[in-house]
Amino acid sequence: MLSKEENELLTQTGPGTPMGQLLRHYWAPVLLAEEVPDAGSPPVRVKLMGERLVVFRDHDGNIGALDEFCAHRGASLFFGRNESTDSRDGNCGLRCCYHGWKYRYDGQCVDMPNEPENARFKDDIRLKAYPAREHGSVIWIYMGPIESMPPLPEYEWTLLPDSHRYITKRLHSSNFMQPVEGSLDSSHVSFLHSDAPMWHPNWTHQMYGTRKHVLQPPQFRVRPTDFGFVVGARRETDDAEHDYWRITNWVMPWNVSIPRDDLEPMGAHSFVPIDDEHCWAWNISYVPERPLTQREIAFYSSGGHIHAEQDPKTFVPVRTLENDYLINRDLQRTVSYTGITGIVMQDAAMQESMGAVSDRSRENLGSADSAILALRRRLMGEARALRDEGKLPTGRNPESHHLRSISAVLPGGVDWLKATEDLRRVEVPVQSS
Amino acid sequence: MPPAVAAHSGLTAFEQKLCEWLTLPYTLITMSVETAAGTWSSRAEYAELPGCVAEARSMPEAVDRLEDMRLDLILRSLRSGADVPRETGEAVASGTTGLSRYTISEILERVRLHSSLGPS
Repeated sequence: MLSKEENELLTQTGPGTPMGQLLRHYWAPVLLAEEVPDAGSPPVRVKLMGERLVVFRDHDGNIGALDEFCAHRGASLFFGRNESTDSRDGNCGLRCCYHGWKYRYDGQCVDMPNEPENARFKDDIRLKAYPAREHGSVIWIYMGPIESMPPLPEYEWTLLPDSHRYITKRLHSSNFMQPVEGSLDSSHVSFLHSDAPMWHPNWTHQMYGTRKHVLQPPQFRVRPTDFGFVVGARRETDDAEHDYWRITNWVMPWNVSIPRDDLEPMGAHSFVPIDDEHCWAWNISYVPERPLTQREIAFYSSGGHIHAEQDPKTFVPVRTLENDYLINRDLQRTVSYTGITGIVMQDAAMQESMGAVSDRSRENLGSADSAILALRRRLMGEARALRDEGKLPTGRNPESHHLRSISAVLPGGVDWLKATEDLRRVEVPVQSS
Repeated sequence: MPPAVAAHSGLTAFEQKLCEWLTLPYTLITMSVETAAGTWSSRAEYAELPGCVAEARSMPEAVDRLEDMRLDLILRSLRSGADVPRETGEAVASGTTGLSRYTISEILERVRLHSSLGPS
């Protein structure tokens, strides 16, 4: 249970809020690289933690992330012209269609054609601009203090060739904390996603007889780390001498990777606030050892694994709260716990149904919710330590990202972290300089 | 100046050690236990820290009690010149302990306010 003040601290991400300040110290994934595919591509609107921006790739290939609105009269630069050096002022940049003011990727105004050339007015005009980079087929933006800007993250999927990963983003209609909490909540898997193999034989949460744990809840361990924490969920198996472990990493502030069984594709999510009532759910399926097969890609693009059926342009899912996620009660009676098709839409149905911002003063956390408790305390603690003491947040060192979530059957009584140390470590290929 | 900033200026050797030890990570274990016939509680435990097992009606309350036990153990160890058990792994080092509802500066402030918790 959280007080109203604690809930606001946890969920409010706009400029000047403590959590917003914390989150701005991380690189945020904002666009698929294919949304601004080429130098000179049209600008794209982006809303991130309540701030409205336009992102464009100029004709020199620089990526700009600017305040959406022109410094002159506030017209949207989404309608702007992405011009090359072959233009009246000789600069690459985005020109407002209203009166022709033009901005470089770093926000500097470089042309002001409705003022006298020698007035030099333009030199004093600079739009808010944030550093933006392409990395791992995604465009990332950093909105924090420049002097504290960390290197780009090195989550395992960002280091793989394009052929080994499949990335989607989906509009999620709730505060970002609801899906982050949901992805760390291992016990829901035995219920919400029951009979998921009906949708795909490789989705094997039911492996090792975990279904019986509907009656035998898992035991949880949470180990704080320098990057966030590791959650271990231990379930008994049919074999009395072994336990089934699902070990999940949470990497500050919004990243979770999903344990896999055997060599099935891995999954990762990031949940990035658009505003306080919406977020982008980033979904990445990947296989470190090999390129994805055509069959796997076709499956993901049709809404399988951790992806959703959705509009390819707006990223709005087909199943929403407004249409009750197309729940099929016959399916629910016969083969599916929920009657809702798609793993992530089953999650979304629960998380969005809690309200745009869940009222955490009404809840009752049990022993299965220790990761949720740890998540909230860590985020709120770091937000307050940053606000009050200027303590830089954790989880920004790329080397600490070289890890993966796993599942394993271990002999009873062994040290679950030591026994899985090698399995959880990601060997990063040496980059050629 | 915010209270937490003031709390960090001019730390004694005792306080510095306290802040350092508060960042040491331990594995939280939680479970529901039947404490008497038909009566269930949430249990929270740091298996590596002797005596650090707490029970309460709710899990957050059990973790709060557990964190108080850990603080008490650290303070007793500091006073007696003993070390605390350590697991391997990086310290949290973010101004938080990872699981307490208080930041390290806030814990330090509590210790200062309740001088009986400080060095004897």
